[in-house]
Amino acid sequence: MSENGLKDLSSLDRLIHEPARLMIMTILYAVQEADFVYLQRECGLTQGNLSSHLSKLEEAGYLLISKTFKGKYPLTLCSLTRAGRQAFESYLAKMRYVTGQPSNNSR
Amino acid sequence: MTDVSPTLQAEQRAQKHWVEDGLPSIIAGIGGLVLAFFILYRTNGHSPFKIIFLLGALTLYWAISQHQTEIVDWLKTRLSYPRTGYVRPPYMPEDKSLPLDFKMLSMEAANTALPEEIKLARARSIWLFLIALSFVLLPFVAIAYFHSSWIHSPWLYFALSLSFVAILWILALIEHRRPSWILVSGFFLVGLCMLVFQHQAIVGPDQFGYFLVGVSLVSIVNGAVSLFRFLRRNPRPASTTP
Repeated sequence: MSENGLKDLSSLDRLIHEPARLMIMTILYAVQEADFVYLQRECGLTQGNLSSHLSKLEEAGYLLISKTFKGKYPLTLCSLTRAGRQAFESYLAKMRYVTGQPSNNSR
Repeated sequence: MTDVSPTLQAEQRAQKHWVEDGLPSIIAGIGGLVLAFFILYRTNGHSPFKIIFLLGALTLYWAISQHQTEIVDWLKTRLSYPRTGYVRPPYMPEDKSLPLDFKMLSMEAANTALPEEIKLARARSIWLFLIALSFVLLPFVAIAYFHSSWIHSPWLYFALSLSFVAILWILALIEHRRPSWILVSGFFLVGLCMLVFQHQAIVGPDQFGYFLVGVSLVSIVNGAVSLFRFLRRNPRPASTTP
Protein backbone atom coordinates (compact mmCIF):
# COMPACT_ATOMS: atom_id res chain seq x y z
CA MET A 1 0.00 0.00 0.00
CA SER A 2 1.20 3.51 -0.75
CA GLU A 3 1.82 6.17 1.86
CA ASN A 4 -1.24 8.06 0.69
CA GLY A 5 -4.02 5.65 1.63
CA LEU A 6 -6.63 7.68 -0.23
CA LYS A 7 -4.96 6.97 -3.56
CA ASP A 8 -5.22 3.24 -2.84
CA LEU A 9 -8.99 3.60 -3.04
CA SER A 10 -8.69 4.36 -6.76
CA SER A 11 -6.94 1.03 -7.32
CA LEU A 12 -9.95 -0.96 -6.01
CA ASP A 13 -11.15 -3.53 -8.54
CA ARG A 14 -14.27 -1.86 -9.96
CA LEU A 15 -15.45 -5.14 -11.44
CA ILE A 16 -15.72 -6.69 -7.96
CA HIS A 17 -16.75 -3.47 -6.20
CA GLU A 18 -20.22 -3.47 -7.81
CA PRO A 19 -22.66 -4.77 -5.10
CA ALA A 20 -24.26 -7.60 -7.11
CA ARG A 21 -20.89 -8.91 -8.34
CA LEU A 22 -19.48 -8.56 -4.83
CA MET A 23 -22.28 -10.86 -3.59
CA ILE A 24 -21.56 -13.39 -6.34
CA MET A 25 -17.81 -13.33 -5.64
CA THR A 26 -18.36 -13.68 -1.85
CA ILE A 27 -20.58 -16.74 -2.31
CA LEU A 28 -18.27 -18.43 -4.81
CA TYR A 29 -15.22 -17.60 -2.67
CA ALA A 30 -16.74 -19.62 0.21
CA VAL A 31 -17.83 -22.71 -1.77
CA GLN A 32 -16.34 -24.99 -4.40
CA GLU A 33 -19.01 -24.43 -7.01
CA ALA A 34 -22.62 -23.29 -7.23
CA ASP A 35 -25.20 -23.39 -9.98
CA PHE A 36 -27.18 -20.54 -11.51
CA VAL A 37 -30.37 -21.21 -9.52
CA TYR A 38 -28.52 -21.24 -6.18
CA LEU A 39 -26.75 -17.95 -6.97
CA GLN A 40 -30.00 -16.38 -8.14
CA ARG A 41 -31.78 -17.32 -4.90
CA GLU A 42 -28.92 -16.29 -2.63
CA CYS A 43 -28.34 -12.93 -4.35
CA GLY A 44 -32.00 -12.16 -5.06
CA LEU A 45 -31.25 -11.14 -8.65
CA THR A 46 -33.31 -11.67 -11.80
CA GLN A 47 -32.15 -14.20 -14.39
CA GLY A 48 -31.10 -11.52 -16.85
CA ASN A 49 -29.30 -9.44 -14.23
CA LEU A 50 -27.38 -12.40 -12.83
CA SER A 51 -26.55 -13.66 -16.31
CA SER A 52 -25.09 -10.28 -17.26
CA HIS A 53 -22.95 -10.04 -14.09
CA LEU A 54 -21.69 -13.60 -14.53
CA SER A 55 -20.73 -12.86 -18.13
CA LYS A 56 -18.69 -9.81 -17.04
CA LEU A 57 -16.86 -11.83 -14.37
CA GLU A 58 -16.24 -14.63 -16.86
CA GLU A 59 -14.85 -12.19 -19.45
CA ALA A 60 -12.42 -10.89 -16.81
CA GLY A 61 -11.24 -14.44 -16.19
CA TYR A 62 -12.51 -14.47 -12.60
CA LEU A 63 -15.16 -17.08 -13.17
CA LEU A 64 -15.44 -20.43 -14.86
CA ILE A 65 -18.90 -21.27 -16.19
CA SER A 66 -19.67 -24.79 -17.39
CA LYS A 67 -22.92 -26.33 -18.52
CA THR A 68 -23.51 -29.90 -17.42
CA PHE A 69 -26.25 -32.34 -16.41
CA LYS A 70 -27.01 -34.03 -13.08
CA GLY A 71 -29.31 -36.81 -14.19
CA LYS A 72 -31.87 -34.95 -16.33
CA TYR A 73 -31.42 -31.68 -14.44
CA PRO A 74 -29.36 -29.12 -16.41
CA LEU A 75 -26.75 -27.28 -14.34
CA THR A 76 -24.99 -24.04 -15.13
CA LEU A 77 -22.06 -24.40 -12.74
CA CYS A 78 -20.00 -21.41 -11.66
CA SER A 79 -16.71 -21.48 -9.78
CA LEU A 80 -13.93 -18.99 -9.13
CA THR A 81 -10.70 -19.33 -11.08
CA ARG A 82 -7.32 -18.92 -9.39
CA ALA A 83 -7.15 -15.39 -10.82
CA GLY A 84 -10.64 -14.72 -9.45
CA ARG A 85 -9.65 -15.84 -5.96
CA GLN A 86 -6.49 -13.76 -6.03
CA ALA A 87 -8.40 -10.70 -7.26
CA PHE A 88 -11.01 -11.11 -4.52
CA GLU A 89 -8.36 -11.57 -1.82
CA SER A 90 -6.56 -8.47 -3.06
CA TYR A 91 -9.87 -6.58 -3.00
CA LEU A 92 -10.56 -7.74 0.57
CA ALA A 93 -7.07 -6.74 1.69
CA LYS A 94 -7.55 -3.24 0.25
CA MET A 95 -10.96 -2.87 1.88
CA ARG A 96 -9.53 -3.97 5.21
CA TYR A 97 -6.78 -1.39 4.85
CA VAL A 98 -9.34 1.30 4.02
CA THR A 99 -11.57 0.40 6.98
CA GLY A 100 -8.60 0.01 9.33
CA GLN A 101 -9.30 -3.63 10.14
CA PRO A 102 -6.47 -6.07 10.93
CA SER A 103 -5.25 -8.25 8.06
CA ASN A 104 -6.18 -11.48 9.88
CA ASN A 105 -9.82 -11.86 8.94
CA SER A 106 -10.86 -14.35 11.62
CA ARG A 107 -14.19 -13.31 13.10
CA MET B 1 -25.67 -7.22 11.04
CA THR B 2 -24.26 -10.30 12.78
CA ASP B 3 -20.74 -10.92 14.11
CA VAL B 4 -20.23 -13.57 11.41
CA SER B 5 -18.53 -12.31 8.24
CA PRO B 6 -20.36 -12.60 4.87
CA THR B 7 -17.79 -15.18 3.67
CA LEU B 8 -18.41 -17.42 6.66
CA GLN B 9 -22.17 -16.88 6.35
CA ALA B 10 -22.00 -17.99 2.70
CA GLU B 11 -20.13 -21.15 3.75
CA GLN B 12 -22.61 -21.90 6.56
CA ARG B 13 -25.59 -21.39 4.22
CA ALA B 14 -24.01 -23.78 1.71
CA GLN B 15 -23.59 -26.41 4.47
CA LYS B 16 -27.19 -25.88 5.62
CA HIS B 17 -28.41 -26.20 2.02
CA TRP B 18 -27.43 -29.89 2.10
CA VAL B 19 -29.64 -30.78 5.10
CA GLU B 20 -32.56 -28.33 4.89
CA ASP B 21 -34.72 -30.58 2.67
CA GLY B 22 -34.62 -33.42 5.24
CA LEU B 23 -33.47 -36.07 2.75
CA PRO B 24 -30.20 -36.93 4.59
CA SER B 25 -32.24 -37.43 7.79
CA ILE B 26 -34.73 -39.75 6.02
CA ILE B 27 -32.00 -41.88 4.42
CA ALA B 28 -30.05 -42.13 7.71
CA GLY B 29 -33.29 -43.20 9.46
CA ILE B 30 -34.04 -45.88 6.83
CA GLY B 31 -30.47 -47.22 7.23
CA GLY B 32 -30.99 -47.38 11.01
CA LEU B 33 -34.33 -49.22 10.60
CA VAL B 34 -32.75 -51.85 8.32
CA LEU B 35 -29.95 -52.43 10.87
CA ALA B 36 -32.52 -52.66 13.69
CA PHE B 37 -34.50 -55.19 11.65
CA PHE B 38 -31.35 -57.32 11.31
CA ILE B 39 -30.61 -57.10 15.06
CA LEU B 40 -34.15 -57.95 16.16
CA TYR B 41 -34.80 -60.87 13.78
CA ARG B 42 -31.35 -62.45 13.72
CA THR B 43 -32.08 -65.15 16.36
CA ASN B 44 -35.60 -66.27 15.50
CA GLY B 45 -35.11 -69.61 13.73
CA HIS B 46 -32.52 -70.76 11.20
CA SER B 47 -34.53 -71.60 8.08
CA PRO B 48 -32.71 -70.95 4.74
CA PHE B 49 -35.38 -68.40 3.83
CA LYS B 50 -34.73 -66.48 7.05
CA ILE B 51 -30.95 -66.57 6.53
CA ILE B 52 -31.34 -65.21 2.97
CA PHE B 53 -33.72 -62.56 4.30
CA LEU B 54 -31.27 -61.48 7.02
CA LEU B 55 -28.32 -61.45 4.61
CA GLY B 56 -30.43 -59.28 2.31
CA ALA B 57 -31.14 -56.86 5.19
CA LEU B 58 -27.45 -56.71 6.09
CA THR B 59 -26.47 -56.10 2.45
CA LEU B 60 -29.13 -53.39 2.17
CA TYR B 61 -27.79 -51.69 5.33
CA TRP B 62 -24.23 -51.87 3.98
CA ALA B 63 -25.35 -50.41 0.63
CA ILE B 64 -27.24 -47.55 2.33
CA SER B 65 -24.42 -46.68 4.72
CA GLN B 66 -21.73 -46.84 2.02
CA HIS B 67 -23.68 -44.92 -0.62
CA GLN B 68 -25.65 -42.57 1.62
CA THR B 69 -24.35 -39.43 -0.10
CA GLU B 70 -25.00 -40.84 -3.59
CA ILE B 71 -28.58 -41.81 -2.68
CA VAL B 72 -29.27 -38.38 -1.14
CA ASP B 73 -27.68 -36.65 -4.15
CA TRP B 74 -29.83 -38.75 -6.56
CA LEU B 75 -32.99 -37.75 -4.68
CA LYS B 76 -31.90 -34.11 -4.49
CA THR B 77 -31.42 -34.06 -8.28
CA ARG B 78 -35.12 -34.80 -8.64
CA LEU B 79 -36.53 -32.84 -5.69
CA SER B 80 -34.23 -30.10 -4.38
CA TYR B 81 -31.81 -28.90 -7.07
CA PRO B 82 -34.54 -27.80 -9.53
CA ARG B 83 -36.13 -25.79 -6.70
CA THR B 84 -33.28 -24.24 -4.72
CA GLY B 85 -30.24 -24.93 -6.88
CA TYR B 86 -27.05 -26.85 -6.39
CA VAL B 87 -24.01 -25.87 -4.33
CA ARG B 88 -20.97 -27.86 -3.28
CA PRO B 89 -19.67 -26.74 0.13
CA PRO B 90 -15.86 -26.55 0.55
CA TYR B 91 -15.61 -29.73 2.63
CA MET B 92 -17.68 -31.99 0.38
CA PRO B 93 -15.38 -33.93 -1.95
CA GLU B 94 -16.53 -35.23 -5.34
CA ASP B 95 -15.91 -38.81 -4.17
CA LYS B 96 -19.28 -39.97 -2.84
CA SER B 97 -18.26 -43.51 -1.91
CA LEU B 98 -17.75 -42.75 1.79
CA PRO B 99 -20.54 -42.19 4.32
CA LEU B 100 -21.28 -38.50 4.65
CA ASP B 101 -20.71 -38.36 8.41
CA PHE B 102 -17.03 -39.22 8.06
CA LYS B 103 -16.52 -36.82 5.17
CA MET B 104 -18.15 -33.98 7.07
CA LEU B 105 -15.61 -34.44 9.87
CA SER B 106 -12.72 -34.24 7.43
CA MET B 107 -10.26 -31.39 7.95
CA GLU B 108 -9.10 -31.64 4.35
CA ALA B 109 -11.05 -29.41 2.03
CA ALA B 110 -11.50 -30.52 -1.56
CA ASN B 111 -10.59 -26.98 -2.57
CA THR B 112 -7.24 -26.10 -1.01
CA ALA B 113 -7.46 -22.42 -1.99
CA LEU B 114 -10.04 -21.78 0.72
CA PRO B 115 -10.17 -18.60 2.79
CA GLU B 116 -8.18 -18.86 6.03
CA GLU B 117 -11.28 -17.70 7.88
CA ILE B 118 -13.26 -20.78 6.79
CA LYS B 119 -10.38 -23.15 7.58
CA LEU B 120 -10.04 -21.69 11.11
CA ALA B 121 -13.80 -21.87 11.75
CA ARG B 122 -13.82 -25.47 10.48
CA ALA B 123 -10.97 -26.55 12.76
CA ARG B 124 -12.64 -24.82 15.73
CA SER B 125 -16.01 -26.51 15.07
CA ILE B 126 -14.47 -29.98 14.76
CA TRP B 127 -12.44 -29.64 17.96
CA LEU B 128 -15.43 -28.31 19.91
CA PHE B 129 -17.56 -31.18 18.61
CA LEU B 130 -14.94 -33.83 19.47
CA ILE B 131 -14.45 -32.39 22.98
CA ALA B 132 -18.22 -32.34 23.54
CA LEU B 133 -18.57 -35.86 22.17
CA SER B 134 -15.86 -37.24 24.46
CA PHE B 135 -17.44 -35.55 27.51
CA VAL B 136 -20.81 -37.12 26.64
CA LEU B 137 -19.42 -40.55 25.79
CA LEU B 138 -16.88 -40.78 28.62
CA PRO B 139 -19.49 -41.68 31.32
CA PHE B 140 -20.75 -44.57 29.14
CA VAL B 141 -17.27 -45.97 28.66
CA ALA B 142 -16.70 -45.72 32.43
CA ILE B 143 -20.02 -47.49 33.14
CA ALA B 144 -19.21 -50.25 30.65
CA TYR B 145 -15.79 -50.74 32.22
CA PHE B 146 -16.67 -50.64 35.92
CA HIS B 147 -20.26 -51.96 35.94
CA SER B 148 -20.76 -54.29 32.98
CA SER B 149 -24.15 -55.38 34.40
CA TRP B 150 -25.46 -51.85 33.85
CA ILE B 151 -25.26 -52.39 30.09
CA HIS B 152 -28.55 -54.31 30.32
CA SER B 153 -30.20 -51.63 32.42
CA PRO B 154 -32.97 -49.62 30.67
CA TRP B 155 -31.58 -46.54 32.43
CA LEU B 156 -28.59 -46.80 30.11
CA TYR B 157 -30.80 -46.16 27.07
CA PHE B 158 -32.52 -43.28 28.81
CA ALA B 159 -29.10 -41.77 29.54
CA LEU B 160 -28.02 -42.50 25.95
CA SER B 161 -31.05 -40.66 24.57
CA LEU B 162 -30.28 -37.69 26.86
CA SER B 163 -26.71 -37.68 25.56
CA PHE B 164 -28.03 -37.66 21.97
CA VAL B 165 -30.08 -34.59 22.90
CA ALA B 166 -26.95 -32.98 24.40
CA ILE B 167 -24.90 -33.71 21.26
CA LEU B 168 -27.66 -32.25 19.05
CA TRP B 169 -27.73 -29.12 21.17
CA ILE B 170 -23.95 -28.74 21.05
CA LEU B 171 -23.92 -29.28 17.25
CA ALA B 172 -26.62 -26.64 16.82
CA LEU B 173 -24.69 -24.17 19.00
CA ILE B 174 -21.49 -24.77 17.02
CA GLU B 175 -23.29 -24.26 13.71
CA HIS B 176 -25.22 -21.17 14.95
CA ARG B 177 -28.68 -22.67 14.38
CA ARG B 178 -31.63 -23.90 16.42
CA PRO B 179 -31.76 -27.63 17.18
CA SER B 180 -34.69 -29.52 15.64
CA TRP B 181 -37.42 -29.80 18.29
CA ILE B 182 -38.61 -33.07 16.66
CA LEU B 183 -35.20 -34.69 17.17
CA VAL B 184 -34.76 -33.29 20.69
CA SER B 185 -38.22 -34.31 21.95
CA GLY B 186 -38.20 -37.53 19.89
CA PHE B 187 -34.89 -38.81 21.29
CA PHE B 188 -36.04 -37.93 24.81
CA LEU B 189 -39.32 -39.81 24.26
CA VAL B 190 -37.52 -42.89 22.90
CA GLY B 191 -35.32 -42.98 26.03
CA LEU B 192 -38.35 -42.54 28.26
CA CYS B 193 -40.24 -45.36 26.45
CA MET B 194 -37.23 -47.67 26.89
CA LEU B 195 -37.40 -46.93 30.61
CA VAL B 196 -41.18 -47.17 31.09
CA PHE B 197 -42.07 -50.06 28.76
CA GLN B 198 -39.23 -52.37 29.75
CA HIS B 199 -39.84 -56.10 29.32
CA GLN B 200 -38.00 -58.98 31.05
CA ALA B 201 -37.74 -60.95 27.78
CA ILE B 202 -36.03 -58.11 25.93
CA VAL B 203 -32.38 -58.09 26.89
CA GLY B 204 -28.95 -57.48 25.40
CA PRO B 205 -28.75 -56.61 21.70
CA ASP B 206 -32.57 -56.72 21.39
CA GLN B 207 -32.77 -53.71 23.72
CA PHE B 208 -30.40 -51.87 21.41
CA GLY B 209 -32.47 -53.02 18.43
CA TYR B 210 -35.65 -51.45 19.85
CA PHE B 211 -33.73 -48.30 20.78
CA LEU B 212 -32.43 -48.11 17.20
CA VAL B 213 -35.98 -48.52 15.84
CA GLY B 214 -37.13 -45.55 17.95
CA VAL B 215 -34.19 -43.33 17.07
CA SER B 216 -34.47 -44.19 13.34
CA LEU B 217 -38.22 -43.45 13.30
CA VAL B 218 -37.57 -40.08 14.94
CA SER B 219 -34.94 -39.34 12.26
CA ILE B 220 -37.39 -40.31 9.46
CA VAL B 221 -40.22 -38.20 10.94
CA ASN B 222 -37.86 -35.24 11.33
CA GLY B 223 -36.72 -35.62 7.71
CA ALA B 224 -40.28 -36.03 6.41
CA VAL B 225 -41.48 -32.88 8.20
CA SER B 226 -38.46 -30.93 6.88
CA LEU B 227 -39.12 -32.25 3.35
CA PHE B 228 -42.80 -31.30 3.54
CA ARG B 229 -41.92 -27.76 4.69
CA PHE B 230 -39.20 -27.50 2.04
CA LEU B 231 -41.50 -28.54 -0.82
CA ARG B 232 -44.27 -26.20 0.38
CA ARG B 233 -41.87 -23.24 0.69
CA ASN B 234 -40.13 -23.89 -2.63
CA PRO B 235 -42.51 -24.70 -5.48
CA ARG B 236 -40.85 -26.03 -8.62
CA PRO B 237 -40.19 -23.12 -11.03
CA ALA B 238 -41.27 -23.38 -14.68
CA SER B 239 -37.82 -22.52 -16.03
CA THR B 240 -34.64 -22.67 -14.01
CA THR B 241 -31.58 -21.91 -16.12
CA PRO B 242 -31.10 -19.20 -18.75
